[in-house]
Order: sequence, then structure tokens, then C-alpha cells
Amino acid sequence: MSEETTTPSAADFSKQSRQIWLGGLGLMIGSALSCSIFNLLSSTTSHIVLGLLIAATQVAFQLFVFMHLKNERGIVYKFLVFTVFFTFALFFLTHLAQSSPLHFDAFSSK
Amino acid sequence: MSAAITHEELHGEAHDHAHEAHPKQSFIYKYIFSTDHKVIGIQYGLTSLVFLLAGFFLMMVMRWSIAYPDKPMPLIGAFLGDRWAPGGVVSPELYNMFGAMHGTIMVFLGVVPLAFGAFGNYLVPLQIGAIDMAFPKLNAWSYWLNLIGGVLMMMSFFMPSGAAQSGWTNYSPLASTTQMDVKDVFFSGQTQWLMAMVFLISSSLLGSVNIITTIINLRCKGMTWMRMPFFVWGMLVTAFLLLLAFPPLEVAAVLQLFDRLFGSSFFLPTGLLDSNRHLDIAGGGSPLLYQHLFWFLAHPEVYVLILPAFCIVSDIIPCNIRRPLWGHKTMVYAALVLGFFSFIVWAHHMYLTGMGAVVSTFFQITTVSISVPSVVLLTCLMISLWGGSIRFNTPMLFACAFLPMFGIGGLTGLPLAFSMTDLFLHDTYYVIGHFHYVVAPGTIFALFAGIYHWYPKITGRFMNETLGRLHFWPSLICMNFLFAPMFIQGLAGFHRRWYNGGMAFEDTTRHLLWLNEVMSIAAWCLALSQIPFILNVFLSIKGGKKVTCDNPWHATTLEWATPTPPGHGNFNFEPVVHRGPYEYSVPGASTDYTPQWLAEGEVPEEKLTHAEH
Amino acid sequence: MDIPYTVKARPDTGFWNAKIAIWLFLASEVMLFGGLFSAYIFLRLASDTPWPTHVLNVQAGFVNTLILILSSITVLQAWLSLKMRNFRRYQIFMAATLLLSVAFMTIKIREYGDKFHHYGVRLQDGSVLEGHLAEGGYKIKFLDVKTVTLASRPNEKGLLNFNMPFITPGSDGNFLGYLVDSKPEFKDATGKVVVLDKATVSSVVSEAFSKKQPEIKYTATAPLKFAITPSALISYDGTKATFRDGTVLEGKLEDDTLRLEVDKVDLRQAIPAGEKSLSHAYELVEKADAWRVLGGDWKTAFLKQKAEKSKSGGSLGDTDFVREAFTMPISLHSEAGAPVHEAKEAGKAEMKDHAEVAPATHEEHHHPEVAILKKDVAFYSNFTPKYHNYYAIYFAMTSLHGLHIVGGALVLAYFLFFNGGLYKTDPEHLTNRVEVGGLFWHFVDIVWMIVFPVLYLF
Ligand code: HEM
Ligand SMILES: [Cu+2]
Repeated sequence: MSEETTTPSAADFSKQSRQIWLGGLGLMIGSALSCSIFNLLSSTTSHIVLGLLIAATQVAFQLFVFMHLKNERGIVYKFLVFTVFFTFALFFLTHLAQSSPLHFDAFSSK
Repeated sequence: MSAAITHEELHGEAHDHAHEAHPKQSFIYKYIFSTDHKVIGIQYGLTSLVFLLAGFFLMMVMRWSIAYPDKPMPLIGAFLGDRWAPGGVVSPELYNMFGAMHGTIMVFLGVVPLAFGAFGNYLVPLQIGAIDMAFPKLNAWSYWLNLIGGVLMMMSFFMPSGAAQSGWTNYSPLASTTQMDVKDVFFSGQTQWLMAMVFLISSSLLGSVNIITTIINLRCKGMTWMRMPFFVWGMLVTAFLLLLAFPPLEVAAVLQLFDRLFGSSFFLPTGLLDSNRHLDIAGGGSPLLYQHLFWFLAHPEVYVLILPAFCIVSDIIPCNIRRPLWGHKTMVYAALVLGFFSFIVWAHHMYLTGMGAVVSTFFQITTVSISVPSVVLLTCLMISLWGGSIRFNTPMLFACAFLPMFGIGGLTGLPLAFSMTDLFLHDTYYVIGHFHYVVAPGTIFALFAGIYHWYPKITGRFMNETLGRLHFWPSLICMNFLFAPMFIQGLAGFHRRWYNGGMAFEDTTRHLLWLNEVMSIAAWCLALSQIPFILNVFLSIKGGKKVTCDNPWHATTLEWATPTPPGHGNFNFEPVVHRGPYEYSVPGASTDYTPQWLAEGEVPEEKLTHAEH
Repeated sequence: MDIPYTVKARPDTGFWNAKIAIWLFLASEVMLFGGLFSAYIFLRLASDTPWPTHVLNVQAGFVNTLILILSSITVLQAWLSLKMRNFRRYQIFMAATLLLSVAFMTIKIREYGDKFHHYGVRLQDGSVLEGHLAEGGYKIKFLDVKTVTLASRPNEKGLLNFNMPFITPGSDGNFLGYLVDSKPEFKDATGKVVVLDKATVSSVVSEAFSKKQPEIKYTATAPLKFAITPSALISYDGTKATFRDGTVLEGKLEDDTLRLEVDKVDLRQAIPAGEKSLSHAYELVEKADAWRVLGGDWKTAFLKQKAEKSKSGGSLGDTDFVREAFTMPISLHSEAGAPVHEAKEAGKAEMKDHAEVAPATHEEHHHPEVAILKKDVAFYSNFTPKYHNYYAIYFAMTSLHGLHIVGGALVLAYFLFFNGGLYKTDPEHLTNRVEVGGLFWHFVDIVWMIVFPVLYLF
């Protein structure tokens, strides 16, 4: 919709407006869900996993619908993909540096 | 766009009236608070040259202390101040302070603003045929933020605590715990270093957003991606490095500010002692976190230092051998791959921190891989020289010297890529020698080449060739006497950041201590050999040989299509690009260069034009 | 001369300039917050103390989430109105967005305020008491102060012997602010009587600085009393207090007892690392320093409550269980609470050798007040970044996020209040601006959608 230069018709307009409200409501429900599983679930780990899933959905929705990334051309995707990749590299490599998943037991003298 | 220019012409007269009414004010807006990318480029250039000189000066004092530790420094020593140089003797604290600030100033205030800020700003819009940057005001902001950062950095020398003293890397815990017993922690050198960095980071953020947008959206008609000179490609990659690598350093700076100002322990482990006293901190933090965040920036940063050098050289070499650049496309892809890899090699600076074996292996592999695109870039430039009829003017001399010097710097980096050898070489003078070969006779030479090369476009006059040679040959010789011995010392185990150059460990260092003197003398001679350059820059403005046409080097890229010097709005006609950037000695063409802007069948004409505005 | 593609998209790339710029800027912002989150992950996984969880006010955070989502909607509506060329509607929605941002920041600041008033004290064995400082806060009290020595620190000179004006070393006279009902009347070295204030201090100090005289001694005409905020001091002992600026008071330490209204006890750090047996851990915490301070009745209450808990199973490897099993809220009104008086007596027991006893009027308080001797305190702080890296990263993330909110709101406000003219000349341009501002605003909202669960819920 960002590309349109002609003014949308009034019907379009109220439809879009309604969609925005509904989308926002969906986001709110997502956050409410996050909060309530915090009361329901006892384990931190399962809560983190679920909470992150909900957050990821919300973020994707915001990005693609509210920020209408879905309507943008490829070049933005190109650098966003790299950005996300580097961010995750920062997450995981820093953590991996702290823990060594490999142990060379073969060399240790019992 | 031609419509845009006529529009401007209409307004030109109105402007002239304004000139008469407020001559003072318009000077300020034209040259000081200008939003013209060329003026901003020159502002960047001049300020960064001043900072380079400042960083150079600090180094000369350091070299005294290394060569003649604990002896009063002649001439300068007496002025440095009782606290820092009692009796004119450079104190260890002063050495630390100058060492830290030399690194910081050279990297963040000297080379990056000159290479990216000045050359990028001045040339990128010209080379893509744009009338200005996409966001001129933002561009001005970027310069002013940079200047504020620089001034803050320099002001910290005059804080009661002195400037930062923990290396350009500013590693915690040292950086979070020194200068903490002062009256006001905010006004201590360490804290101000962080504040200044926040400004410098914001500045380069604005600059890089601007350059990328300009390159993507303001290319003139016909300027397809692969018709962009390598210069523009290199700047594009550089801008992406700045854009994505700096934020984690900003995080590191902010978190360290928290540590210093609000007492948090982001980078401070539990039970940390300072002078046998438990610090009043919660602990639980990690010094390694700082190193990760720092090097996530600082490795891409070294490519920010080197890519613009490649950009400059890749323009100067084809022009002076009258042959196309060999492998333009290859170089472009190499630069892109280089940019990508530079984000995932950072922990090769941290092999000694006891990382896990898996991660260490990962970083060794990526580090070795990244040398491939670097070698590709260098090889393409070398092959370009093959069989050319080389025109050895001063810019070309510097550009040619860049190649082997960068080569030495690059190849000596390979042993540092392997944790096995790095264990021994880490933090020795070997490392100092390695990266100085890259940045000093490497990047700095390329920057000199660029200044000599584009000076005629900027001022309408050539720089003096004799002075140029007087600058080049002594510089080349001194640089090598200065940095080559560092490899020898480093292999012998000389540690970096020793204020006395190893005197305190005489048992093991005795046989190589004399090299310190050699290097220091070379450093001071290097300083002397910059005098012809400084004279040249200033004297040639008025006294240099005048150019007789807009394109004095007979080059092919768009910046030479502008009037001399280019005015506001850059081009006197609407540039349209018809071919690739390096069409030299095209078979069948009437001249040995076919500029990008000439339509098919047109012959380049030699004329000198002036800006319409 | 106009820069092309400021309003209309360039046909081959499909973007107008600012659209590219904002996405680039957001990419860099992703790296910024990415760096912060990676710091969070790193710190949390590497933490050697229990990571505080569920300690923030979830309701406040949730309300703020709703506010931000709502503002995301309104900013989109504002943009849509501009697309429709309905300026009035745009103004309303934009104003609503700004109001929502103010609401967000207000709640945020209230949350911050709470953190500043809440304290945690770690005792020598690692047990932690949390609560609010008793009436009057924590002050180091000195009496009988006869000598005050101002420092000029002539050695703290910048390079080239030059110091920045206004940033001088040496005493600044702030110590006078801690004086308790008496007049700062002194005799100087020559016997002249002066009344010190900030101006005299700074002129005296700067004179001494230029004469390279490191200190200036004053003798009080009558003994003085000081009550000093600990952060102003760099060190103190029984007879001497040294301020950050170098000023030294000599007198007698009267009191440096920390008085806390305890609302929670946390014994997790009193269990040695590597302890495996739950019952052994309970034996250990029976001897915790916390009970010495808090009184035996609370110990009994704790053990009774937790004995139940430990029967239900659970191990020391399970952080959720440990948090439940070794922390206890302390409130005089809860059933688990021990009788008021005895708790207070226990506190008093520790204070016997002190002249002053906490006033006994605690009817309106919900939590027992205890007195903790300085020698028992290993570390204390309010819940600011100093207290724990969790709070540190909480403040770092939310304050940077808050700065983004403020910055974004300022830009949107600029569009609303100063770009009405642009609407008349070039409505599409304003629409684009609002779109870009909106994209930033959505991004800030996205950040919050991750910050909220990560800091408040996990
Ligand atoms: C041109 C002549 C130059 C000379 C003679 C020179 C010399 C030196 C010396 C003697 C040191 C200190 C070594 C030690 O004590 O460990 C040093 C450190 C350093 N130099 Fe240079 N340098 C030069 C140019 C540059 C340039 C152009 C850059 C950057 C672009 C640079 C960046 C650094 C850095 C980052 C350090 C490390 C500082 C630290 O230890 O934290 N230098 N240089
Ligand atoms: Cu590196």
C-alpha cells in the first residue's frame, strides 16, 4: 500500500483502518497470552520458549504488516537478512566461546 | 535533473543579492555550516589531517621513551607538565596515556574520517553523477558530531585525571576501575573517552546511512551497478561495515559507562580486587563480554581502514597505466565477501582468553578464509600493472608503494590467524609491526596518493612534483626502517605497550634493544619527511601549476566531468553514463581514454570550465 | 537544485530516499539492541549468583505494552489519514500517539523510582535481606568534628600543566551540605575566624592549588556534627572521613548502622556452590547471618514454611525450586509472620552497644525494622544497576529504549506541530515523513515486545 500514489477510495480506507485495529488487538492478545502463561506454567524454561515464540510472532506481524515490509522491494530484505544473521552470530558465538561442547577425553590421563 | 539545474539558475540571482547584503553570514554558511558534500568532505579532510598530525606527535614522544627510557626528553619534555613528565622524563603513565590516545586518535579521528568521511563524501556523489548526498543536512550533522567527539577526546588530556590510559581497546576491568578515585568520575579521561566514542559512533552512523542511500538512489542515468567504479563499491561496503559493526561498540561503551558511573558490574567479575581491596561492586560480570563487543566492531573497523585505501588505489592505478582495471567485477565480489566475513572473525583477537575449542576453530577457519578476498583484491591490482605503460607521477608512486607494503602487512597477519602461533605472537611487537604495515605505509600511503591525485580537481592546481618526490622517497624508506624491526623484536618476544621498550627485561632483550633507537630515529625522520607534504598542500593552493582542462589526468570516471573546482550542484550538464568505469586504451578509440559520460562516437574534449554557480 | 527522489520513489529501486535510510537505520538499531540482548544472554548464562526473576512489576509492564501497541495503531491511523488527505483525523491520531508516549514514559519513570527506594543488603555469609531504608535513610554520622582539612590536589594537573576551567581537582565545599544543625565556623592556620561556604572553599582551594600547597587545615570553633550520604565518601574509619573530593573530617564516628525495613529474606547465596543435599542446605541456612539480624522467630517461621516445601520434592539443581525454597517474603501482616515485638527485640539486641535505639513507633509499617552493623554488611545497594547485573541490564535496556521513545516522540511532535505548512504545499511529502517516523515508532514497539517478556516475565 505504500506504493500507491492515487488516493484510495473511502471504502478501502475504512477497511484498512479496521484491519489496523484488528491487528493491534491481535498483538495485545499475544502479550496477554505471554503474561498469563507466566501465571500458569511453573517451569522457567518452558515459559521462555513459549514466550519467545509469541514475541517472535508479534515481531513478524509488526514488521510485515504494520511496517508493510511485505510490500517493499528486495534490496531491503538483502541487508536485513545479513543484519539478522550478524545479530545471531553475536548471540551464539559469544555464548559458545564460554562453553566448550567438545571434550578431548582421549588425551587425558584418566 | 536538467530541469532541476535551470531551477537552480533561476534562484542563483536571488542568492547573489543575498551575498551583497550579508557577506559575512554567507561565508559562514558556505564554508562552515555548509551542507554541500564537497565542503563537508574538505572539512572532514582538514580536521582529520590535523588529528593525524596530533596522533603522530604523541607517537614521537612515545618513541623517545622507548629508545631512551627514563631520560629527559629534549625540547618537548619540559612542556609536557610536572605531573606527566617530571623533569622532562616521559613517565610510564604518560606513555600509557599517549599510547591509548595515539591508537584512538589515529583510528577513529584520523584515518576513518579522512578515508571515509573526506574521500567518501567528496567523491562518491561525483562518481555516481549525483548533485549532492541524499541528506545534505544529515551530512553536516555527521561532520559536526565527529568534531564534537574529537574535541571531547582532546579535552580529556586536560582533565585532572589525564586522558584515557588503557589502550585504544579500553579493556575492562582496567578501564572500568582506573581513574575512579577522582572527585568526579564523569570528568575523568576514561569516562570522556566513552562519551567521545558515543559521538563518533553517531557521526559515522549518520555518514554511512547517507552514503548508502546516496549510492542506491542517486546514481545518474545509465549508472548501473556494475558500471560503478570500484571506488564506489568499496565505499558502499565500508559504509555497511560502519553501519552494522559500530552499534555493538556503542553497547560496549554504554555498558562501560554504566560500570563507571552507576557502579554496575557488566564487565567486572565477582571478587575483583584492586590494590588488594575488594571493590564495592556486586560482581558477576565478564571482562570477556567487553572484548566480544569491542572486537565485533574493531575487526570490521580494520577493513574500514583498508577498504577506502583499495578504493583510492583502484582509481589511481588504471588511470596511470592507461589500461582497464584487471578484474573489476572480481574485485567487487571480493569486497562484498570481505565485508561479509569481516563480521564473523572477531574472536581471533581473543585466542588467549581460553575460548572453547570449537569456537576457536570456527574463528580460525573464517580468519583464514577472509585472507582470500584480500589477496584477490591485491592480486587484481598487481595484475593490472602488468604490461602497462606506467606514468610515475607522485600519486602513482604512493599507489605503487601501497601494494607491497599492504602485502607485507597482510601476509604477516597469517601467523596471527592460527591460535597455535598467536599464542606466542599475541601482544608482541610483531602484532604492532603487522597492523602498522597495513595502516601506515598501507592506508596512509593510499590516502596520500588520493590527496595528490584529486588535488587538481579540488583546487584547480597540481601539487608540486619535486616536493612530492621529496615526500615519497624518504617516507617510504623511513616507514620500513620503522616497522620492519618490529617483526624481529616481536619474534624475540618484545611485548607491546612497554614504556621502556624492553629495558626492564634486559636479560632477554639486550641483543635487540638497539633496534629501538633505529626505529625511533626513523620515526623522527619520517616526521621530517612530512614537511614537504605540508608545504606542498598549502603552497600549491596559490602557487601550484594550473590545470588546463577539467580532466587533467585523462581519467574516465565522472568526477572529472565536473567543472574545476566543482560548484554547488556539481555538474554543468546532466551526466549520463554510457559505459564501464575503466575504459582506457579501448581499441579503435581516438584517445587512450573513453570517459563514462561520453556518448557513443563522441571524442573527449580538453577544456577548462567553471562552476555556473 | 533539488535532490531527486525525496518524495517520489525512484522507478528502478522502488524507494524514495528516506525509506531506504530508515531501513538502514533500523538495521543498525537491530545491531544495537542485538548487542544488548547478546549481553543479556551472556550475563545471564555466565552469572554466578542467582539471576533475579519475576521481580519487576508485571502489571506496569503489561500496561505499557498495551500502551505501545495502541500507539502503534494510532501512528498507523495517522499515516492512513494523511494518505486519505484527512488532516483533521491525522492530527487527532498523532496527538493520541504523543499522549500515549507520555503515558508510557510516566509509568516507566514511576517504575524506576521504586527501584531507587528498594534496597538489598548482602551479609558476610551471603544471605540477603531486602527492604526499604528506615526513616531518614542511611547516613554515616560523625560527631565532635574539630578539624576539617581541605585538599587542593596540586598534582592533579592535565597535560602541559593545563587544566580545563570548571573541571578542577580538590575540595568543592559539598561537605558543608552534610552538616547537622551547626554553623561552619572555623579558625584557619593564622587563627582568623571564618565561616566557610562553597564560594570561600573554592577560592581558598584554587589559591592553594596555584601555590602548590596540598592542604588547608581548619579548626572548628565548636565541635560539629555531620550526617553523610555514604556515596559522598571514598573511605572512613572510627575517627576520619574522606570525601571524594579529598576533604577530610576528623572527629568521632557516631553511627554507621544500616536500618532496614525488611520485606524479604533470600538465602540462596548462603548455600555454598556445589552443595547437593537439600537437607544439608537447610541445616546450613539455619546458621545464616540473616537470623542473627532478623531474630529467631523469623527463622522458625521460615523453617516451618519451607519444611513443607521440601517435602514436595525438588533439588538444588532446579533454580525455580531453589528460588521458592530459600526465599521468603517478610511481612508483619502475613500469617507466616512472627510477632512484631520479638522481631524488633532481635534487631535491638544487635544494637545494644549503640546509644540510639530505633524509635518504637512502627504501628503503620508492615515490615520489621532491623539494624545491621557495618561489619556484617558485605555489600548493599538500592535496586539500581549496582545491585545486580540483572538490574544493570534492565536499566541499560529500558533507558536506551526510553531514549528511543523520547526521540521518536519528539520527531513525531515536530511533524504534528511544525509541518502543517508542508501539508499545504506537498501533502505527499508529509505523508512520507510520517511513514518514516511511523516505521521508527513500530520498531521501538518491536523492541519493547521483546524487552517486556525477557525482563519482566522470564
Ligand atoms: C605513521 C607512523 C606511526 C608510527 C610510527 C606508529 C607507532 C606506534 C607505536 C610506537 C605504538 C605503540 C606500541 C606499543 O607501545 O605497544 C603504536 C600503537 C598503535 N598505533 Fe601506531 N604508529 C603510526 C601510525 C598509526 C596509524 C596510521 C594507526 C591507525 C590507523 C595507528 C594505530 C595504532 C594503534 C591502534 C596502536 C595500539 C595502541 C594501543 O596499544 O592501544 N598507528 N603505534
Ligand atoms: Cu581482526
